[in-house]
Amino acid sequence: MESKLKRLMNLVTALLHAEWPKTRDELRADLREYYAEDDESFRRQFERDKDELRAMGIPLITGSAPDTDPPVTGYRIDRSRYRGDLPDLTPDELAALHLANNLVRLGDTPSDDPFWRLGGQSDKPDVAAVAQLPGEPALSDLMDAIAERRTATFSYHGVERVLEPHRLAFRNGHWHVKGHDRTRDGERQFRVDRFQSEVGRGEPGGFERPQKASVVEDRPAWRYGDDEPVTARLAVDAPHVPWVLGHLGEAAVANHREDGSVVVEEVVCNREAFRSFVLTFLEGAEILGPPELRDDLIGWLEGMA
Amino acid sequence: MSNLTALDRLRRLLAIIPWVAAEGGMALDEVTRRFDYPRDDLLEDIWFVVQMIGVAPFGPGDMLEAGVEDDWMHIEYSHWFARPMMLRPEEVLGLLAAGQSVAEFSIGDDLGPLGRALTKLSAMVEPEVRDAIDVRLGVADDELLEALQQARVDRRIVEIDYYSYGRDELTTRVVEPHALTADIGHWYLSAHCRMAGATRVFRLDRISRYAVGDEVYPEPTSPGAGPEGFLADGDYPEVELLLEPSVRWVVTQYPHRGTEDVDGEHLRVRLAVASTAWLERLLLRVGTAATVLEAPEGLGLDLRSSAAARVLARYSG
Repeated sequence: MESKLKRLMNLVTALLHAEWPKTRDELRADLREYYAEDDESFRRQFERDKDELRAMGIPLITGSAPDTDPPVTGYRIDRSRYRGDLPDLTPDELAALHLANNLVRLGDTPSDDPFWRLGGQSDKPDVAAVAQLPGEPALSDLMDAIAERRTATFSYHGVERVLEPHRLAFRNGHWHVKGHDRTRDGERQFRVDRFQSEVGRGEPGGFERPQKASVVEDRPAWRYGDDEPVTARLAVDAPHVPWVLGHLGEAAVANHREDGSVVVEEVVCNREAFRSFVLTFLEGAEILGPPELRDDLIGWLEGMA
Repeated sequence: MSNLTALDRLRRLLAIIPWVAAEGGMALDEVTRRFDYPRDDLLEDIWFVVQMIGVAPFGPGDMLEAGVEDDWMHIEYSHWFARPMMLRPEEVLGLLAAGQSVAEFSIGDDLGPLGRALTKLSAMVEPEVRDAIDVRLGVADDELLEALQQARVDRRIVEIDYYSYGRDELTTRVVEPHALTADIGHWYLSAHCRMAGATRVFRLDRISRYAVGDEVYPEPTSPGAGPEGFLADGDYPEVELLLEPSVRWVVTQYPHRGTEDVDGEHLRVRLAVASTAWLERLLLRVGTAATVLEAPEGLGLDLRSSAAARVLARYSG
C-alpha cells in the first residue's frame, strides 16, 4: 500500500508539474522506480491509476504531446480547475455545514472528503442521521450534468433518453430529475432509481437553461407510466379519510358521503401501482370504476384467495 | 493496524499538505483530529511517503520537504500543492442539498452559521443552479413538524390522535417526543407513549390531531429509536419471503432483518411482522411474485388467502 500511495502521490505531482501533456512513456521514465518493469503490467497499472485519480475528481486532461508525429496522447492536470476557489468558511460555519451533512445523508456514508479540503475539523459531529437519502449511483453524475449544462443519456422504460437536466428533487422517498427530453421533444420527469443504465454525460455547455425551471411535481406512482390513462373512482372508508386527504389532497375528492367515507377520482397511467395503493386499504376501500380496473383487482385477488 | 486504504490516505494527504504548508506547520495531534488520520499512520506516511514526493530527477531541489519535530508537523517547498483541490460543482450541490434540507426543518428563521455557510456556498455556483436541487424529506404538515420539533426541544408532552395502520384503529395518546427522523419519504416521531408505557414510533402523516401540553416531561433515559431501529428488537415474529425481481422494492421500502441473493434474480428476505394487517397488505400487494418460505402458524399463505377473500367479499355485492 505504501508503494501504491507513493506512486499515486508522485504521479499527481508529476501531472500538476507538467507544463504540457506528458506521454505515458515520459511519465513512466520519470516514475520508473514506482512502476512495473514489464510493459503489460505497467500499462495496466497506469490505466488503473488514471481511473482512480479521475474517480476522485482530479481534473486529468488529455492532449497531443508536443513534438510527436503521429500524435501521441499525453496527460496533465488542469491546474486552473484543480486549484479553483474554495469558499472561505469560518470554523463555526464549517462545523454547521459538517453537522448538516451528517444529519441528512446522501447515500450510505457521508463523505468527509470535501471537508478535509476545506481545512478539516477539530470537533467531529457525532450525531445520528435525521434522514438518509438513497444515494443512487446516478446522482452525482446528474448533479454534475445540471451544474455544467451537460446532456444526460440513460435508458428508461426500455427507451434510450437524451435529457437536458434542469432540476433534481427528492420527493416521497425518491429522487426525480426533470428536464427537456430530446428523445420525446418535451418536458419530462424521471425517477432516478428506475434508470436502467448508467448515465452518460455530454460536453459542458451543451444546452441553454430555461428562464425558469418548472418544479418537480409530487405525483403518486400511478400517475407515471405508459398505460392508457383512465380515471379511477375509489371509495375509501371513514377511518382512512384523513390520511387519504393528506396524501392526495382535497382536490381528488369527488364526493363526501354521509357515513364519513369519500369517493376520490384519480387518473391512472400505471395500473399496477394503483392496485398496490388500493390494496393498502385492505377491505377499507373499493374501486367503483371503471370496470376494467375493478376486474383487474378481482382477478388479482382470485389468484390468491 | 489501520483500515485506511492507499486512496483514503491519498485524499487526506492532498488536503493536508496545502493546509499544513499554509499554516506554517501544525501540531501533529491537530492534523490527526482534523483529518481523521490515526497518528501512527500519519507518522509513517510523513516519513515514508510525503518526504519522497517530488518531480524527476528527484534531486535536492526537486523534492518537497517535510518532517516532524517535537510533535509539530512542517512542510516546505510544496508549491505543486499550493492550494487544496477545489470543490467540484456536484460536491457543492450535494452540500447545498444537505444544508438546505436541514435548514428546512430547523426552527426559526435565524440559521446562524449554517445560513452563512449556505450563502457562501451558493455564491460558488451559477444562480440558476442554486435552486436546481430541491429536497423534501418526507410528507408531513409543516406546522405539525415544527410543533413537534419545538415540543421536543422544550420537552413538552403532546396529545395526538393517531391512526395505527397496522391495527387499523384510531387512538388518542399522550406522548413524550424524543426524536424526529425522515426515512423513505416519511417523517417519523419517536416518543415515549404513555398509553403503551414504552417507546413507540409514529408516522407523522397518520397523526390527525395534536395538542401540545404544558407539562414538561423528565429527561429521557434511553435514546429514541429511529425508523431503522423500531423493528430491530426481537419481540416480533419473523417471516421469510422469496421475492421475484419485480417485487424487490420490498427491501427498499421496509426495514428488514437480512437479505440473501438466491440465484442472481430472486431475493430471500426476512421481515419482522409488527402486525398481521401490515403483513396482509404486503402479501396482497406483492401477490404471487412473493413466496412465503417460512412463517409462524397463521402468518403464511393461509393469512394471504383469508385476506384476499375478505377484500373480494367487498366486490361480490
